[in-house]
Amino acid sequence: MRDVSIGQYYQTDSVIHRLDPRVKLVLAVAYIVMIFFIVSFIGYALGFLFILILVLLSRVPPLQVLRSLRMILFLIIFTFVLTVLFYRGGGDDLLFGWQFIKIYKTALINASKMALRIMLLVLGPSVLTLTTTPVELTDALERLLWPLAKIKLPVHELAIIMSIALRLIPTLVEETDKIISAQKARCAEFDSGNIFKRAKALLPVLIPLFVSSFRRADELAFAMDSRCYRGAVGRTRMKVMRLALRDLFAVLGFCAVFFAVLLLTYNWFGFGFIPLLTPGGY
Amino acid sequence: MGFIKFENVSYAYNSGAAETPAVVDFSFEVNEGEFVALVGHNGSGKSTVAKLVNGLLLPDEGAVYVDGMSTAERSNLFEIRKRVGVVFQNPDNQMIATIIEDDVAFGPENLGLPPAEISARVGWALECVGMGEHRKGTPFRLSGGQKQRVAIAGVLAIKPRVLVLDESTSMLDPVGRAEVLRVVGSLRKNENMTVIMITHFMEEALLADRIAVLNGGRLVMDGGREIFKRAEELESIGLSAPLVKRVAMKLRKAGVLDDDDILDADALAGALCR
Repeated sequence: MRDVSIGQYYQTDSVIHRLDPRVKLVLAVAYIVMIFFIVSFIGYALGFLFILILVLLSRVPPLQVLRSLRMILFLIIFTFVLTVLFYRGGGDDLLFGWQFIKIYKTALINASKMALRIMLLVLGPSVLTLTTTPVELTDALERLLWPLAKIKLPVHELAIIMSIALRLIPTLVEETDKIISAQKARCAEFDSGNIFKRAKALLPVLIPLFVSSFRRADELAFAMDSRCYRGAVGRTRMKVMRLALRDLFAVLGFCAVFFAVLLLTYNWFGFGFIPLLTPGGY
Repeated sequence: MGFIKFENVSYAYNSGAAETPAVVDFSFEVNEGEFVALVGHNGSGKSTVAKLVNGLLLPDEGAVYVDGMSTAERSNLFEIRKRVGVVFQNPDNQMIATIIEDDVAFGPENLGLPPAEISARVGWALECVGMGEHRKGTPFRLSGGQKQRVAIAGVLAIKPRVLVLDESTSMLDPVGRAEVLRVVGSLRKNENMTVIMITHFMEEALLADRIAVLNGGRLVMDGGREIFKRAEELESIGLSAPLVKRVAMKLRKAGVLDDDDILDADALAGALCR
């Protein structure tokens, strides 16, 4: 079984892996904002080029990255088909019409753009999760949200809850397997009957799992107390996150891409001389 | 006055309407540098003692003092827990982080030490338990004994003066148990650590300088290895003497030996060959 707590993290050593997780997290959010600024096909091409460069830099096999697309392939196809079929903007660019099915050129263009947008929205964050461990992400989140602790938001507590949850996932998976084996040994059947029967069969697994989770939580709380845990009070961290030069370059590089996107979208500096680049073009 | 002092402590668990007394009128002292084994069969209250010692549970009656500070005072608890580290039974339920060094760092991080000092302590603690090379690894792939050694390192990194092992070997296989006991032995030798080992294995109790026996929440025996002379009495409260001692007793009954006051295998062999 794959280590669930690692998520889809792909272990290797690359520039992207070594970037400060805080920087990666902030850039990932900014990236999502950027996607919504893209309006033209050439803009999307730029987006995909950016992702391609990231993937090459991260040394993650491209197939591994594409795997994240496979999970939402259905969603992409579904939205594409629906947008094309139910587009009723009308107009004179009807390409195909048969009874109630009418396919417009504008609909096709809009639907393709939406599909590209969804792909970009999934690919960017998956580069983040492929190159950053969940623990690093939680840590980064805690440090980024630190100012919010000043207004009494339990930032540290949320972060520690998340990291303990991540820590317990493999333990609970293991425990579930054990309980299932134990129930099977007593002739419980989990993989026969209809869906309701199967759901019902899981009950004798869930209840012991639930009970033992509480017991674990109790013991873990004792162990944490014993190790001088007092919440965020006076707590320091072993790992210091320090920004390096490469983080600066990452931010600058991203800003350049974002700027290029804005340039294309808003037709700054008269870049509209190529009709393809303007919002009105494709 | 001892470093740890229990003064007429009583504690009862509230399970519904029925109160189950776990510890009754328990008075006990441990001095610095001692190696004490606290033994008793299941339900004798020995694990409750482990939770009373650093204020995880507070006594219903009486008081517990660590280095002169009462556990009943909330403001003392942080200082008390810095001095007394407790390692529990199940290593899986003591791990906080998914990477070993992060887990060991949890304690010193709570103390608010500077990062370099935390890192140094993590390195030292992992070396102490012989897990130095696993620093960057994850605990999930480790054996039970290795996990428990990491748990001990997590407590050691706080640099406590007393180490309490609450049945820390009971979930381990014989190999894992031997690993943990070896670590305890080296901590005794190299760091002169005060150790309170709570166990129901009499073989483990033999390693200690002093053995205290609990039964029904009361202290019934407290002394050196000579308590094993009272083997029948131990048996009556559900504890069996160490295997060697039991063999010696049988041999004496059979008329092979005239003396059954033997606790280790070499001595038994010597007595037999005489």
